Amino acid sequence: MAAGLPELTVLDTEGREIKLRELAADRALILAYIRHFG
Amino acid sequence: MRGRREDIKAGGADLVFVGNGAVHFAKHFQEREVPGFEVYTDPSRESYRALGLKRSLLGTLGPQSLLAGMRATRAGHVQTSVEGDAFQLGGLFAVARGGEIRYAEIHSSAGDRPKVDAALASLRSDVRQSR
Repeated sequence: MAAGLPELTVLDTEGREIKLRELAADRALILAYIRHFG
Repeated sequence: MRGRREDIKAGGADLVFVGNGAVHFAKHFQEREVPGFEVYTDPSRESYRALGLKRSLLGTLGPQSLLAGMRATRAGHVQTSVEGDAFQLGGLFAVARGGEIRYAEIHSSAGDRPKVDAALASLRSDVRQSR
């Protein structure tokens, strides 16, 4: 598997837009996509 | 998942959560459930779709999910509300430094458990190279 993270943004807990790719720019991640926050 | 933090750190990665509710739900989740972890949200669910994650009525309300819910309740994890899309399913990804996805796990049921060890194994060559 060699696909990259999509060129999309998410919001941090302060509502700031963050590029998904920036999250992994300088570190490896285990990225847990959860169903919902409840 | 959160109990695996040290394993994940030892594996050379950071654990990050992404959900799909409003920002204040993300903040509440971080404070209540996973203090000290990074939490992000994608209310549009665009990244869920781009990563191939599923949205399914059967996957969230089917028998497998109900059994998993009962197990979680017995273990003391009581779901009090749904803060986000009730029918969205999750998944787990291992991402190498720079953004390459090394491992993708797409859940078909709300009861699916993330395979953290498999995700970490996909990153091991990076850790060896950086040491």
